[in-house]
Amino acid sequence: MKHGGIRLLDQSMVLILRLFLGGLFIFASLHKLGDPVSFSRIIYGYKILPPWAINILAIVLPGVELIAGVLLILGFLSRGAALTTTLSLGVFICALGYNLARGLEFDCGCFSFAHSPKGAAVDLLIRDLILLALSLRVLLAKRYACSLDWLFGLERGGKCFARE
Amino acid sequence: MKVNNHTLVRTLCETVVVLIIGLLAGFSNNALSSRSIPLMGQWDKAYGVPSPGGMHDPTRGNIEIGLGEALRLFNEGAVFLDSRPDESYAERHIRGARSVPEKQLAARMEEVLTMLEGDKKAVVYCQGMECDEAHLLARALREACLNKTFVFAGGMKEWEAAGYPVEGAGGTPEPVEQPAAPSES
Repeated sequence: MKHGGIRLLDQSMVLILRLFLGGLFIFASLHKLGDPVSFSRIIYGYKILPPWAINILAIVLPGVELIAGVLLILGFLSRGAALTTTLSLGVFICALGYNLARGLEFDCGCFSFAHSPKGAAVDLLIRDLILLALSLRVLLAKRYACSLDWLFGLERGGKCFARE
Repeated sequence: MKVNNHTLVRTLCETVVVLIIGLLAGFSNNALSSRSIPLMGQWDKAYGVPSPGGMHDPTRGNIEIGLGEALRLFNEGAVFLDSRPDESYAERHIRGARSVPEKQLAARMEEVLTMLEGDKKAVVYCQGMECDEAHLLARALREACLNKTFVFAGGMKEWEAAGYPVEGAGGTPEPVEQPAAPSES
């Protein structure tokens, strides 16, 4: 009973994290989907990618963020969606860290196209590291409660919250 | 969670599916977007504001000029328009330039039309080659039939680096080379 309670608590926490990260990724994708021109300029501002890759990433990344977010909320292909968000956050952290190390000023473009204030990169790095930890927690979850994965038999457990 | 081979392979397969669906969503969105971009941008120009290219590119249709041409127009008495926010203008701007922040053009159109009366040439600039405010302002001016509008791509950064005349609350550094003053500003 005691272990069952802990499992329920664990599954509830993963469910909340899934919904939070999913919502966050959907929110982060919307302004990018609405304005590929501005998003491509933000990517250019990072001064990391070769010129031929900038537009392609500006087109593809918002779509991947949106789909990963939607799938996390639905709980369908949950592990794949969680690995996608984890990898995305890992790449963002590397890009932020690299530019921070070389002292380059740039706009994040994460949730809007507004100019980032000076010194914001450290805050962004810390925020993304926390989000990476949360995303890893979802990726390594034993099972996903109330997800389409268990409904379609992709995950073990026959109930919304499995006690075993 | 113990990661066994089965879970690992399934996770990787799911990730590939997520990426493929995401890729399709991204391309579909771009195809339908009113701000769509082409696959290849113009990010490695020899001179000028790098841009994503395509129909909605802020630089599309504008004439970009370099430092030499900007100085020539400055000496000819062309009207310089600073498209940066008011605070940046107050800090420092090209001597004699007028402040017309790109976002305030609609409200200040009448003022701009008065400045450019007599078919005067207008040179629009922003901070440098990383900003697109000058291009957005130049496009709006062209749409208002002010066709003698040029974009000084190097902007404030290049002008200041060359030591050409500036003014503002941030101080007026001694110019390296003092060109002739404009006939009017």
